[in-house]
Amino acid sequence: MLHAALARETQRVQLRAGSVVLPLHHPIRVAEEWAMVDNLSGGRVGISFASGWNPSDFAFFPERYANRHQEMYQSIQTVQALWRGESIQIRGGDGQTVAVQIYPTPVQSELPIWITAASNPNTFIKAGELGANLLTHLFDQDMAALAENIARYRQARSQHGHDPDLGQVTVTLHTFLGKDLETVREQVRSPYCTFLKSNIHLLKGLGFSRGLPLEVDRLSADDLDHVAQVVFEKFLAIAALYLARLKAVSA
Amino acid sequence: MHQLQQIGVNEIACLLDFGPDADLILQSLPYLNQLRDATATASNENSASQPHTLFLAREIVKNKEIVNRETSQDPFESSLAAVQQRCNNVLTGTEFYHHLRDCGVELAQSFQGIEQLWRRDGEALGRIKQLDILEPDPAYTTHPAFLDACLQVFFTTLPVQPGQSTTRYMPVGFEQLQMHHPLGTQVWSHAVLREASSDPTLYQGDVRILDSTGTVLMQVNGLQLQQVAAVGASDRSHSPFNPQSMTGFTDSTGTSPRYPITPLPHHPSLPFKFSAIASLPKPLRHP
Repeated sequence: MLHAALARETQRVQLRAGSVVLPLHHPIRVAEEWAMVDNLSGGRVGISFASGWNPSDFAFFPERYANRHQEMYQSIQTVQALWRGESIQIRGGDGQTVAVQIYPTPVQSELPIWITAASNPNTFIKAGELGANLLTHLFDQDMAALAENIARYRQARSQHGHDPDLGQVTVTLHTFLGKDLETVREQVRSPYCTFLKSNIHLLKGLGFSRGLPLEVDRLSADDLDHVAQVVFEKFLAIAALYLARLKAVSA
Repeated sequence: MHQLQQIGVNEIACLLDFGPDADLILQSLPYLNQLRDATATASNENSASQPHTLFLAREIVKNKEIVNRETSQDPFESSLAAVQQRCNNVLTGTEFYHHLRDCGVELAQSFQGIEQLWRRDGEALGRIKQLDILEPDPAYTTHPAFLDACLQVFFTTLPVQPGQSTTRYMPVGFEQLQMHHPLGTQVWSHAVLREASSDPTLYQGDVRILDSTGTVLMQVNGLQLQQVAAVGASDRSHSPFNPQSMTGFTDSTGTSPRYPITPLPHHPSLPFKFSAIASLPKPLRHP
């Protein structure tokens, strides 16, 4: 819905989802809704698909949680087939099998896709095999690990007939730029720490998805503050790179 | 930024989900723009020293899920544009084949598939069309004359060296050929010469044949051109490339061009005879 509104408010910018957690939805719905936004925007949409990790997000299809990665790759194929105008077989209300297509026909003949990868090398390899672009971050991998993962991705592209140099590697970074580091630090400290604390329940889900149950509910308010400050300083180190670069260029 | 660029990141997505004040974000946008301009300049400078990278890293700064792009060009179009910009010696196919004829290399009509050529020393890009006069032959996955036209592009990567244009090279081998998809009827051929080897009479490079969406259809790695003989003694230094270096890619089994083919010299270090390419179409099956 946000992208439908943005499609009409903007003219040139690309409209991308980062990410559509595919196992939470039916692929027909994803394909058809985004085909509509593609029409509203004149062919500017792109989607990064993710498998999801937070158990409570799987309200519609809790049974998909265990096999969420496989579910995602299967559904990507379905979305792409529907996007190209192919029909897929479904079972109707009368129990009969019927072929369905999506409407409206999208503007772009192929849907530009990204795969959202955290730090699991297999996700990078799979994205390369599919010839998809890659959306990733530095929350749980450092620069050296990311470099290795990008190399795996490029190699997998090459081995599966996709130009290794063409896939887009997109990295998300919390970003805020200002005139100097001290100003920025104080402008963002409070909102960033509030953000971390209010999203602490997500950490619980993340821990569960990786087989590391966390009992964040039992942390005291002081502990939470402390954790937030530590994480803030860690992420600020990345922002500092931006500022140093900017200074060097303007000097 | 520099580090990310070095490890192959093409795009930064700026996350603003941590709740800074909206006015503050808007006020800080000029800084973001400065950063974008600065990195775009840096990435252009870097690309000049990396001719072997087809994809020119574009730093695109993205706000939340909205990319702030000047145009909505797709990555393949922009990499094509980057190669065309680098390879600024541009010839139409007609000019190219006329030029060859002026230099005494005459190709049969069916081998003149290059429509447009962009070249510089070390790199070339060609747009190739399968000519209608080529009769479909079920014996071939890819018609040899069409493949020949794709690989002619590689010859034009040879550096132009005044006074040495009488040297003749011929294709003698390749390391690896991968066929991923059938070639279709209209393709791009991108050839890059590798760094000079210790043997000054041998040039080696890689050719990728791509379709209009950037999908690699065929890769020929380690394609080798061997200096075989010196002919004539006229100075061709005005030439945009060395047309005298052209000899046939395909063999003389009736489908070959009408230009001279010298017998393959014995070269023990070469893993394949180049003529393998012409006889490959039968066993080649795309996956």
